[in-house]
Amino acid sequence: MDPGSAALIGIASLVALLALLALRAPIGIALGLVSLVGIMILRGPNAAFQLLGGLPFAFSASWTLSAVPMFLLMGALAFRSGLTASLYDAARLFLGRMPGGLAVATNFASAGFAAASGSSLATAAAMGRLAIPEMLRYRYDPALATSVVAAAGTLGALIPPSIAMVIYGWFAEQPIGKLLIAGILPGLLTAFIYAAMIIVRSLLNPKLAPPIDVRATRAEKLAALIDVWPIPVLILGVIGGIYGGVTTPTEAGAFGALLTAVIALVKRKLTLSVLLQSLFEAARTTAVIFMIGFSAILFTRFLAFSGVPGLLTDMIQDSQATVLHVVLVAMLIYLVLGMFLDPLGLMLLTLPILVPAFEQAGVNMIWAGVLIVKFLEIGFITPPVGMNAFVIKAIVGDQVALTTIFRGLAWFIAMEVIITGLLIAFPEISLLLPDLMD
Amino acid sequence: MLQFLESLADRLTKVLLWMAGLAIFLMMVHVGLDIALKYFFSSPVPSTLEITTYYYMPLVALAPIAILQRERGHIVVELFTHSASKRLRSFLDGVMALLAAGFMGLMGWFSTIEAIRKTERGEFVFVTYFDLLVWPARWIVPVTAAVFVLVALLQALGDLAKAFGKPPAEAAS
Repeated sequence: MDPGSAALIGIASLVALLALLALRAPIGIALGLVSLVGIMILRGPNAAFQLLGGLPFAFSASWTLSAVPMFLLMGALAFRSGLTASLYDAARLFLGRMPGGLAVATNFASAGFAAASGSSLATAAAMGRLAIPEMLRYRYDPALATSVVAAAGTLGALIPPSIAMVIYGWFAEQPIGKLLIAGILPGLLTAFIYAAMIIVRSLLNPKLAPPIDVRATRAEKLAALIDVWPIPVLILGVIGGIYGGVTTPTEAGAFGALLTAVIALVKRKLTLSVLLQSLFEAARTTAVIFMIGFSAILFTRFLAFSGVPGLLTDMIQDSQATVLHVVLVAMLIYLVLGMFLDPLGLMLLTLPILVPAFEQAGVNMIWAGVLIVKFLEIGFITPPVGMNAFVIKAIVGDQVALTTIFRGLAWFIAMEVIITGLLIAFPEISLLLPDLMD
Repeated sequence: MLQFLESLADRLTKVLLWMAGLAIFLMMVHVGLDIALKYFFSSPVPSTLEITTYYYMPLVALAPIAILQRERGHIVVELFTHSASKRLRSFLDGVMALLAAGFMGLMGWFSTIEAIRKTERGEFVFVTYFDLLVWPARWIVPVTAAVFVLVALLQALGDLAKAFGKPPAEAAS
């Protein structure tokens, strides 16, 4: 087959893929089927069947990727044993008296919750039930009260332990330890810019967040701190283990999960039912990721046969596209597709095309990982299918309209424009810490 | 017959989920112990990497897929079919379940061939103190794929019956 028609098949498959997705095909199945048919056309049925027979085992039998179920288990254990529950109370005692205090407290508590639980949906669900009713009771603006939980819940994807980073690193063949560490500063930067925005808005318009009187004695503050210690210990434990070389990034997952289980056991919060539910939940989510991941690998092989990535890299070379151009195009792709697709699925779907393009343009691949995770995060909160907005909507029910939530989120999306600009303009923000590891 | 198959699918998916849960638990303890022993006594638990790679990981990653299909836990784009009629949606879901069954059926078939080949050869890896057999783990893929196909076919039957408004027995013929 000549290169032209092979590329045509490649492009036709992209169209078929999007059509299948629109017709409610599960993303893993759609991706797998399209790739299978494509490989059959390009390389014959035998090549396709051989891949199909060997790849599922070869892909899942991976030591590196064992960090995925382990980080998921760590998050499920932290959440289900209630270790994350006291975060909001503590944040409220310490930050409640600032302008927009409850919202600022919610912002940081959600970021910590998301980092430890690894799930922005679990964060939105838990923090939504805890913090939103309280903010509404103090007559906080409903748009602000709901959107802060939805937005800060996305930070778990950047702050370690991050499953998105592990998967990106595996796919792009980048050191996972460095990627995990690279997410720290961008994650903190985002949390602080969010907080600054809330404070400034509350100062300019006190009606948004009427001041409240949170008085706490020193003893109460101390008690709150004692209750909340496991979360920073867990996050720092995982980061420290990797940074200090005690654990490899892969082992850090099991280390984090075991540490969580031990802390929960010591605090007498680890019942058999909590343990079983956490195990099953982590296993299920792992299977979802691997199902899509397996198909994404088939898709990578198929695209490689079709020559589409080569076409793209040629285009980049011919057009003398700079790093900035490539990054901006990638951002556009994520913003558009992010409106319809689930973030992890979207990442696995796009990496086969974007990784060669990035490499061709000479983009630093650690920095690229941070940017891609950032773009995915933004997809969680943009209309029409910002998943976090829908989770919040499901929790607040008729109290707050979906449009109100998105109206509040517009402020956070505006901040994301600034943050993304900073991350692109100053790669050091992402690369400073990982460079120190050498 | 159909009822028997439904309850069989129910039981098999649950057994697979329990196996995945057990594997993920063992993985945590095994790797955790390995890190601790390496750190404190500089003597790792032998074959941690190999057992995690060849046994725990395929079990965790593959065994739950059948129960996910059964609960329709996959991620689906709802946006474009939001306003479609119930019948049309049932029809689409039925077709997608058939496609899923076809895809996983092919995967199961060709991994079975692969598994037989590796079994005959007695595939193993050499670890520090002994040979770890790898071929039994190869059978995880065919077994999970088979249960998945059973689940997906039952769903396709149910969905298409709903779409065409006939009882399941007639829709099957």
